[in-house]
Amino acid sequence: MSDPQAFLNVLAPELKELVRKFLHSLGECSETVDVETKKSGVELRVGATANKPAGRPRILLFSDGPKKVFAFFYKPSRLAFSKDRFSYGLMSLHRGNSEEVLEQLRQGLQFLLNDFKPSERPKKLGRLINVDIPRD
Amino acid sequence: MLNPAELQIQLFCQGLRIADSCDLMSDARHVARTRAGLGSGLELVIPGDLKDLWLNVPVEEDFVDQTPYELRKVEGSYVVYDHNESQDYAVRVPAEPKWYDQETASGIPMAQVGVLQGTYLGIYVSNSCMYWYGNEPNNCKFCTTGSNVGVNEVAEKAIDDVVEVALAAKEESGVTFCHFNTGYQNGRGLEQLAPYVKAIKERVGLLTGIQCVPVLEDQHWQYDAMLDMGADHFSFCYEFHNPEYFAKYLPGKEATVGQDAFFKSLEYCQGKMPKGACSGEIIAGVEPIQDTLDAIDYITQVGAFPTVCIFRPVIGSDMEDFPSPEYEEMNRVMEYMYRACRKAGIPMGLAPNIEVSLIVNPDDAKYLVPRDLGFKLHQLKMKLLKKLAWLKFRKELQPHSVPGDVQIWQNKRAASHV
Repeated sequence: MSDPQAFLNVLAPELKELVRKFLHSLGECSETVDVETKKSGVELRVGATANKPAGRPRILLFSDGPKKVFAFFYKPSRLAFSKDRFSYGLMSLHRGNSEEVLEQLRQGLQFLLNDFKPSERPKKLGRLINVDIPRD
Repeated sequence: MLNPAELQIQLFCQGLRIADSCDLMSDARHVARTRAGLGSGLELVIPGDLKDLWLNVPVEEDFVDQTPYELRKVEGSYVVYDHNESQDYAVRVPAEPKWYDQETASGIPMAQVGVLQGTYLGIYVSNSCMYWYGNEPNNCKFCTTGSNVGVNEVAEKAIDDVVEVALAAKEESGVTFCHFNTGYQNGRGLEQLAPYVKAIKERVGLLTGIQCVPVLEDQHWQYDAMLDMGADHFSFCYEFHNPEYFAKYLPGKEATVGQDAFFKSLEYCQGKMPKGACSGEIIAGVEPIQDTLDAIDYITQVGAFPTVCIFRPVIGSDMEDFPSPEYEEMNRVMEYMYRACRKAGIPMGLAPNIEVSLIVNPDDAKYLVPRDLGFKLHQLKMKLLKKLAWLKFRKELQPHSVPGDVQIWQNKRAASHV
């Protein structure tokens, strides 16, 4: 796991604690989840094993100010020259109480572990993208 | 060895892997998925003796892992290599237009306003289709538009930006046709498109096409208004002929207007326009094939031309897990489409330089039939008609004023409140 501290530092204390708790819980997953710190935030993907390569699906956690965290679910292009991102939706994680937000994140994580299988899609994963998704 | 249309259909169904020898970063258009529906792939051209075929080949979807087709660059040229038959097919990779990287006067990258799809300019004019809004969206299950407007393109397009992009596309890429799409806009799609169509006619000089969810019968006057704005073409994407499939996979269209609205609008518009000016758009490979053939019969009997997309389980869509269609069935559909157009006297390939890459054009499918006397006579007839049609198209390709007034919608609303 690369150090997500820079991302966490921009968040208000309550959100910071919540995201930290979520990232900490990744160690308990049935599969390895790689965490990569990016300029735009923190990105999660299922890590490679001896039997299979790393997963294609990604969750990009990014903030739009200290009180807002979004989780953008996408698959990157398979093509080396393309920067295209194939969106699966966006979760807004600044509403609701901490436990609800954490539960949303857990459901999102399960979706990631299930390779974004359409039938496993979390109910609170919005389809419409109404914010600009940052790029590194 | 496959003929060009057979290869086109194979590639639509099975996709293409990209070999390391390819230099698509330099040679190709970027893979744009800025518009609705089934496009997500790499634009290619298959040369042929009757005509060159344009196609948008799946390259991003996971089923592509299984394809026997691989794009290779050999001594500076591209070929599709068939691993099953050890056969090379020469193809062209259309270059990315220079204007893609230019900015409009307002600072918007032009490729975020419109992109080439085949040889025409495609523009999604506004916010995402309304079927994507709400807690439980009613989006069409094959589509991913709502998840991508804002990710890969600007959501709102200013008329001046659109005009600027259209001028660049006309000048640099030889574009003759601009196709506008809105998705569902609560019945206001045509009103939304009107000023764009008028501006393209008056300030650019292109043929224009319109695609939005149809209005109900008491609003058919809006089509007349769009004809006054200069609309040359209406496409009605009803996707599935079988009403059960329509309702199941297009819940928004089912709930807001219903399948019948598509038929009534198609019949109304086609009734006012030259044969083949309107199209009924369907997706093959999901509903039973007989339903697709029935759709082709219906569309051609109305006098419209069928645009038949081969279903693509686009990544990110609700139908991502569906299998890509079988080649043999799609081949049968496309041959049937060509024969149906001929039987109904639907003109094919008359418009200048309009090649649609997301579908097998009726004109593309002529490779699928024997070149007998009937075929040759039909080819001759189309050649003559094309020369005649050019007289009309030549005028449309010059900027000219159109009689339509975009205030008509406001005036109608005001009158209805009196």
